[in-house]
Amino acid sequence: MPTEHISHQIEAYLSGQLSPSARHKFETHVAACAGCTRELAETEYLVAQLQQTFIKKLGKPTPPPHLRLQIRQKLYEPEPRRRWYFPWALSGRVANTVGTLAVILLLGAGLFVTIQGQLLPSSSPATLETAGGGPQNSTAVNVTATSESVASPSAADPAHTASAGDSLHLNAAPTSQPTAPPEVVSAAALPTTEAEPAPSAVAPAPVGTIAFAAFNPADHRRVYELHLINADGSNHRLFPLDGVSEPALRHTGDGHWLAYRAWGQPTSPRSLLTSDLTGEMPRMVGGFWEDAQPDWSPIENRLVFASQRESDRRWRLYTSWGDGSAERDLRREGKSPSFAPDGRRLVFEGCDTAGEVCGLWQTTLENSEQSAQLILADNQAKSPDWSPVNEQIVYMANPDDNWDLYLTDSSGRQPQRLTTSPASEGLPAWSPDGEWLAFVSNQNNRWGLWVMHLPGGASQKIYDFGESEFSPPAEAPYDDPHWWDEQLSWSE
Amino acid sequence: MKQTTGLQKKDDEQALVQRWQNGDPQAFDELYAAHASAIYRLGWAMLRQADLAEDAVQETFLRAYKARHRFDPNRAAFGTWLYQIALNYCRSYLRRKRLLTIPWLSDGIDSPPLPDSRPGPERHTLRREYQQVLWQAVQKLSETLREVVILHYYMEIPAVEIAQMLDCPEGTIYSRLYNARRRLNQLLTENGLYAADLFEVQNAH
Repeated sequence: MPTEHISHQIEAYLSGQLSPSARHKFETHVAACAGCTRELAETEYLVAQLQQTFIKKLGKPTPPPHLRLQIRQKLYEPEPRRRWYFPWALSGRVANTVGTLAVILLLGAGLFVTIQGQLLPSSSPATLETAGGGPQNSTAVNVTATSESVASPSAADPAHTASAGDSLHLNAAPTSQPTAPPEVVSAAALPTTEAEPAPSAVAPAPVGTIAFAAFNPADHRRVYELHLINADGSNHRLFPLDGVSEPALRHTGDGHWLAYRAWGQPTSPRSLLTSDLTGEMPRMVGGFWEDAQPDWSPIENRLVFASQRESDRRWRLYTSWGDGSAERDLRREGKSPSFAPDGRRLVFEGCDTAGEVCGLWQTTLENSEQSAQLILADNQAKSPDWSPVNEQIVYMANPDDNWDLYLTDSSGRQPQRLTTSPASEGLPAWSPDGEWLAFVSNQNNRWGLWVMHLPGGASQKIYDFGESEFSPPAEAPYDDPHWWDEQLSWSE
Repeated sequence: MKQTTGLQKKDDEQALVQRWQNGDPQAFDELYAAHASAIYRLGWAMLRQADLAEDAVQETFLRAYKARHRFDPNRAAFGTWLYQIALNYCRSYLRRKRLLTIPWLSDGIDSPPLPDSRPGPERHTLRREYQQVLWQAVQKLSETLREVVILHYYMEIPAVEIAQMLDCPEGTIYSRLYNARRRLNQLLTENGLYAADLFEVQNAH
């Protein structure tokens, strides 16, 4: 049949995939063959119907937004090579299993010992002690809070893990608790503020450590530098890791722990990281380079942070443990989150769902999706920080095109203006005792770090930024970076 | 001009893929943005359940990453390679679960074809019914043919690339498409729908 020999070429012809000579032959043949013309037209019709049917029945669905994050976490967290760097890659579940296994082994051993009781009486008490669950320094507040992530690895920590198999890196991997012992060894090499003398009761002087970041524009640097300074202006030093900013400092019984945003230069990953003050073996939090503005919970090893990671690039709030595990989307748009002293409530900069009422809002970790309460409607209010001791909230705003610090409280009490200079003041951070504020100011056109004693209102400059600045070259992912997106942190 | 931009684009993707091979999460983000939707659609078309389609996307990227050093840019485009992994995942899923036909038969979206009693132009009614029957005919294709039909007509992947994915000559793809067309026409005819008649109806209006 004349049709037969072009029939099987129709698909290739319709796709434009026939060679010029074959195409010519095909067309010549079709023109001279009514049956072929018809078959070609019918095929075109069928194909068009098929395509329409597919679209009608299947649509063009796209994967849900969270999927990328989920895959990304699976891809880049359990990498064996990185396990050393990010030891928390060993999930809580695994740790639990190991813990359980160890306990079972111990029980077995205990049983064995009991049977052999008369013969080997000395070995049994020691074994039972370790089975008790690794009661490390239970004096620290945070130990109580992170029940699962802390308790299980510590239960698996003592010597009996050796019996559970040497492929497990539990011993080497510190628990998700950032204050875990292994790193303290290296941290001890760095100067810390722990030896600081007690403040004199007579002349009030600020105590603790302030962390802040600034961009060093010098030709040989051109990176963010993270500074640490004692609140009285002494002991200024640079954090060893370059290219990080937006610090959040936390102090526990074992020393300081830092969360910060790493910009991927020169060598760090682009993500939020947490580490001790040596900057060694940082753990990745979030994993997106849009993740920003971390704040530590005052009661547990928990972070809250803001991110533009979703494809619409709107700021949203997230929380995770300090090692990045158990991350949760708070399902609330907002930025600059700051914990209340109870570690449950948060103040943040945001708007209502219609985007009409913007200002400072508060919500809770548990009910962030269901509800948020407006504290203060002021679409210029930024960088809120909740007092570590009471309901006061300090923030920055620029009603007359002049950034100043303002004080309100969680019920939105009439804001009180704290600074009056014509210069820009911003990025307020409370001292741990709630008596002082740290902030930055560009008085005399030089950025500097200042502290203010709230009862008296007197301010003093404790550090001059010199040539460093807050307006870095375009490094932020989606907007021009603003100096008010930076943050300070003050800890014991 | 056109060619250089095309080459440029290819070079860009090659550099991106290289970064991804070296473990750069940022490169993953970009590759994901470029290909996840297509993979999701493939999973959706093959497995017909949203969560299974999500699994397909995830498994594809995880498997691709595991095998990332085996990707050879000289043999196929990165996307083609990914779709191949996705397709293999879907195939093995279907086989593993012995669901070769079940998701297609127990398709919740499709009730049996209802006679359209609404008033309206005959053309509309006819075409509606035609598409319904066509859809059911697609489900009745053998897995081999259905796969190619989905890839070519739904995913709009050129036969050359399908050939790379299935690791067979391009001609094989065309002959499968041809066989699929014949089978579909046969199934339509069994339902009393002659492409020729519809074609006439369409042209008459």
